[in-house]
Amino acid sequence: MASGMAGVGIGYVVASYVITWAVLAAMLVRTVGAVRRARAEYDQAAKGEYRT
Amino acid sequence: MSPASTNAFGPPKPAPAALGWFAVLFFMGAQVYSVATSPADELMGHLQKMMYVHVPAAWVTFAAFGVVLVASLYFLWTEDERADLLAASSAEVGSLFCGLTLVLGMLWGRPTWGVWWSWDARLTSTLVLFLIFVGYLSLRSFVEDPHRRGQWSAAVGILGAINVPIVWMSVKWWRTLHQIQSNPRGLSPEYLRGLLLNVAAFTLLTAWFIWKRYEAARYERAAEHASQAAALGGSNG
Repeated sequence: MASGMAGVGIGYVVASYVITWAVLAAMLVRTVGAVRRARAEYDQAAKGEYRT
Repeated sequence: MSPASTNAFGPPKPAPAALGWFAVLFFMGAQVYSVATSPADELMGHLQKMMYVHVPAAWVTFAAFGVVLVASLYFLWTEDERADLLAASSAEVGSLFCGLTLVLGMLWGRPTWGVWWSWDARLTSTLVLFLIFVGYLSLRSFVEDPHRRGQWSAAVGILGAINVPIVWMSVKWWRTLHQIQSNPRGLSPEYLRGLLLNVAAFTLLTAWFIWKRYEAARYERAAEHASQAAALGGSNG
């Protein structure tokens, strides 16, 4: 029973970790990018170069 | 001009880069450690290892929506726009983890229950929670006035967060397919260590995400305030 479940479940386990890591990596990249863009926008605005 | 839109504030205090690196490395270490050291469960086999992503993802979902609740109440009380931005940042991160929890739950359900989805009380209430916060984020993109956006989204955020205890208790109130949450005292130490490590790692990563999303939101608003001030200065001068 245990070995049977282990064999059946391994693909789902791998998928769950791949999805988790992919989602968190995407969030990391998106978040760091958002901060950089927003900071650049603020720096421009603070210097009086902001254009809407 | 509405009160919240006059809440001029400067740039935020940036989250330390070291905290971000530590959160990422701690997360990776916790994941590798728990997968490598936990033996296959007698009944569930290797499926048990999904506990190290599914349970922490659910936990940080609840924690992030708890932050939304507190920040929304604080915004309604004080009209401090920073609280509204914190609530929005936390809702964004919480929604991501709520969606992830649902997907991981489906991956668990298929081999154990034989179905990807069931209209079970826990699954349905979690889906409702997710949809409320998708609505929250959509609402924020539709409303331009910061004060009105803050008030409306605070109301939706509080409503959504009230759903969290319902999701938590759903497995006790309605005994359907989803098992009752495990008591940590009932877990064997090799599983408990991995679970607690991953809960800590997900919590740290979530806190860092919220801080960075909040930082970005603060910069955006500070840029708007600075440009408005420059425009007013230019028209006065």
